[in-house]
Amino acid sequence: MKSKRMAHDSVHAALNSGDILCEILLRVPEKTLFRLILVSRKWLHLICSYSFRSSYYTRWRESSRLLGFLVCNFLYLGRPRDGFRRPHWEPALPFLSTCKEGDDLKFSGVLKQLGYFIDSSNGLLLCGRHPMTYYVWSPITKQPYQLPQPNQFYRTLCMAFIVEESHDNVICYKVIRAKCVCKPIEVNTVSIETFSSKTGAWKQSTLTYSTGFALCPRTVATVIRGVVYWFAVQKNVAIYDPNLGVRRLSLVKLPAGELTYDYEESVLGESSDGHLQYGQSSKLGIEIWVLEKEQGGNSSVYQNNKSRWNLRYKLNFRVMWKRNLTYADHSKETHILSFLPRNSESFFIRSGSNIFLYQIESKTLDVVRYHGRGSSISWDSSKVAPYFMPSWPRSSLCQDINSFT
Amino acid sequence: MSSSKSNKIVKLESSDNKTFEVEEAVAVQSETLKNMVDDGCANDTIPLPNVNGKILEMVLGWCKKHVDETVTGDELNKYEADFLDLDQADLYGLLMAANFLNVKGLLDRVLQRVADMIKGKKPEEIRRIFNIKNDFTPEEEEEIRLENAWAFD
Repeated sequence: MKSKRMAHDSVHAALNSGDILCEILLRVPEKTLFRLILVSRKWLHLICSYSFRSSYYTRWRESSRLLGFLVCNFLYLGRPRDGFRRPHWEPALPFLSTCKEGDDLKFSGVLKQLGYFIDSSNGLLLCGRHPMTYYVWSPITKQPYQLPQPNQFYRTLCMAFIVEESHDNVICYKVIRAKCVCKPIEVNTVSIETFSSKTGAWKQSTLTYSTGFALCPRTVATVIRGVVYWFAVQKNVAIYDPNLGVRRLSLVKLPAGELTYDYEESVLGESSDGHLQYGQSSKLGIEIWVLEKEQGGNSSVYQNNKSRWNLRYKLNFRVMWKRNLTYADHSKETHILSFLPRNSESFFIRSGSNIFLYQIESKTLDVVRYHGRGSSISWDSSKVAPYFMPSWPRSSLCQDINSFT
Repeated sequence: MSSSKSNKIVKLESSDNKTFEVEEAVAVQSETLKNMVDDGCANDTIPLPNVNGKILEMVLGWCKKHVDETVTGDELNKYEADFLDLDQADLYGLLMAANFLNVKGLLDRVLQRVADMIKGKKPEEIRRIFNIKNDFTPEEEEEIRLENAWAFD
């Protein structure tokens, strides 16, 4: 009996030491870890805390789950032209749900209140109606927040959505509208307007580059650790780091490609090791590069002639379909659809209205089944983007979790 | 056979008054003891009131094995694996001791062992094994499950 009591005492001693409990839980895989929030209040608060999550992500990879695909048909943006007006029965924000959680989102009706889809980041949605009406929707509050009206009128624009979580679990974000011009050679500046959730206001600024350039209209930036990457005309990527405090852009020429020289689709994303990855697809296949930074330089300052595109992967569609005969449908063209967040191991492709996940290492295709009228989507004139939700438990019992500015 | 190593002996006393004498090289595997040696506080017997004799002997055994140059890599691996085949009382005693004495390799192993015991288990099982009281009301539990339904599928 004495040894049993000793055992219990030891256990209590060990686990009551916050440090030791923390060190133990940092070694437990996610699947088990997340359920442990039910063990006790102490375990719940520890696991849900920002500091624990940060430590955990120094050892394990961040994970997120796919809810579905959000669709934005470009033809409906801007003033109706050439008779392109959205029929009243067609939703402004179609959603192809891939799981129950996605279904619940769809049936909640919230997507009908947001206008057109612009971007998602860390589970937050940026939607609206250009050029003046914008909403940010949070899965935590489940309420849309309408941004105040911007002050700058931009006839054509591109956007960026930067979401960050700070040390006290407060989510803050920035929305950037950037003006797109038609005559790039003449202009080496771009007017942008940034909304910050911290200030609740828009602020205009001007970014410069050494020569003439222009950002591509109707696009949304890829954001990696706060650095903004926009497509720019003449096959460039424009890079802007708001945290540097310098209102200058860098421009990097995109790689040409061999297999995909006459590419039709191009996408940007983040690699597993935090670099910019770029993919393009043609009728023949897909090529993917990663932008390797110059050695020793400031992390987000790229010199065009010093940064290098590293060809990471080349995929020939004919070979791919041969290996995956069950899904092959040669009447439909294949396109690269999108990257996954912080992921170099797989990417989404589309063939007709079928979406697949291609796994690079095993060279296999997984069908992504979705609910929704995929057949009614004009794929060629739409942006179809995966909606990922960061996977970490939250609880209203942990008061600080609900902070959202 | 003269060695440049110091032949200094470190004396330790467990909570149940057992004394142990080990070479300095063995003792300094513990960061805590190393700091004492470096600060010149290790000349007299060092009392360790929160480590009992049985556990202290185990820890010192581990340290000795890791200083012994005649032990091969394979032998060491087997030793480490067998070492952690303990009952719960000893395991947690070891955990507390390794933490207090800051024996890094040992601490890491024990933490991983406990983590492996937790892996795959449900909250109710965890509470039973670790004798933890459930301080949630049924309503609170339900709310947590609902808010994180995806984690409990």
